[in-house]
Amino acid sequence: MDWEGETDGPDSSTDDSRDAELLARSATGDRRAFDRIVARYGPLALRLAARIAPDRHSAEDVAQEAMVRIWHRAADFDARRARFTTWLYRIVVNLCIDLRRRPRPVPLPDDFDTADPAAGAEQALEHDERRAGLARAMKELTPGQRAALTLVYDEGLSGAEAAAALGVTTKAVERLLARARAQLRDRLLADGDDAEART
Amino acid sequence: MMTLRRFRKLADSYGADLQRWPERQRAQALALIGVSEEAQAIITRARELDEAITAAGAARDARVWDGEGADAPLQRLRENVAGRIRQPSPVRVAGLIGLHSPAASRYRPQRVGWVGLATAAGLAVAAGLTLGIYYSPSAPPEDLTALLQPAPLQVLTE
Repeated sequence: MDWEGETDGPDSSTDDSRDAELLARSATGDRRAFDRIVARYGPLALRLAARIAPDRHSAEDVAQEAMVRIWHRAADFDARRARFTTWLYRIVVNLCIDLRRRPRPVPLPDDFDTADPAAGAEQALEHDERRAGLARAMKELTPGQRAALTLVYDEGLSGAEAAAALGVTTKAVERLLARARAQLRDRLLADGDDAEART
Repeated sequence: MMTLRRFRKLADSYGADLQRWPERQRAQALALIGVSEEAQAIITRARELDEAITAAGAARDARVWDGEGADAPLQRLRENVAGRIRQPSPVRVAGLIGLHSPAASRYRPQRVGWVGLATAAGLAVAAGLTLGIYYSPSAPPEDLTALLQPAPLQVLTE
């Protein structure tokens, strides 16, 4: 899924000041201003949630809840203290972590009800086996590890920025990343051994 | 110069792309790569994992949103959020009754002033009067008198 558009350029001070103005207007009840926030940052919230939450429906719920919380707390935002994206990252990550604490129905797997493998599909499946194995391994990481990995690797945040978004120290982010990478590496090696054993 | 141990630790966390590494460490890391074959090997191994992680993330994204256009989840999000925020924001209510709100204090809608507030108050009074005229009961219900009787004293002393 391509998340291009208005969403990936909030790096300049112009964008920051525009976010601050939209949020200030939202704080006075301006729903149209807030819809612009949702349109601008919704893709980011959805993408981040999808990487951390266990399934797509949870990810959409998280993104929605994050936006509603921002609406209710728009007046608390202070652009002099933090960037809006840092605040958004933090809310989304915390909601994803809370998901694991809440009892919830077991969701259907993401690949539920996919089409039967046709001719050639099996070969493609084998080709992607390593990647699929790693994707499963990523789902086995803790939400904190997935969050750290997503923020640094996918969103391009520095360790310090990821630490601010997660509400932890930079050292703690480095530990989360190191554990996540070690787990993924072990999984890759194990899958590689399995593949060798089959041949 | 950076020790190999520190170098390995940073590579274990941030991977092969030095742009992700803490800014203060990059120059030393680069210098170490230039002179140490072991550091080069660490970066090579880290790059392989980086590529696998990136590919896995992309595959997961594609699978999660499979079959939908890029705009559909966003459109759902906008509609659902719009539906949920139709209730007045508590912050806005707080602002109206004069409680401090940093963001609201930075933004003042220009068209809302005393005239708007007075108009709203006038409309509220008119609506109240209309409701009072049309819906006030002409006589109290028969059992109202009984309801208004004081509770028997024994109830209080039991």
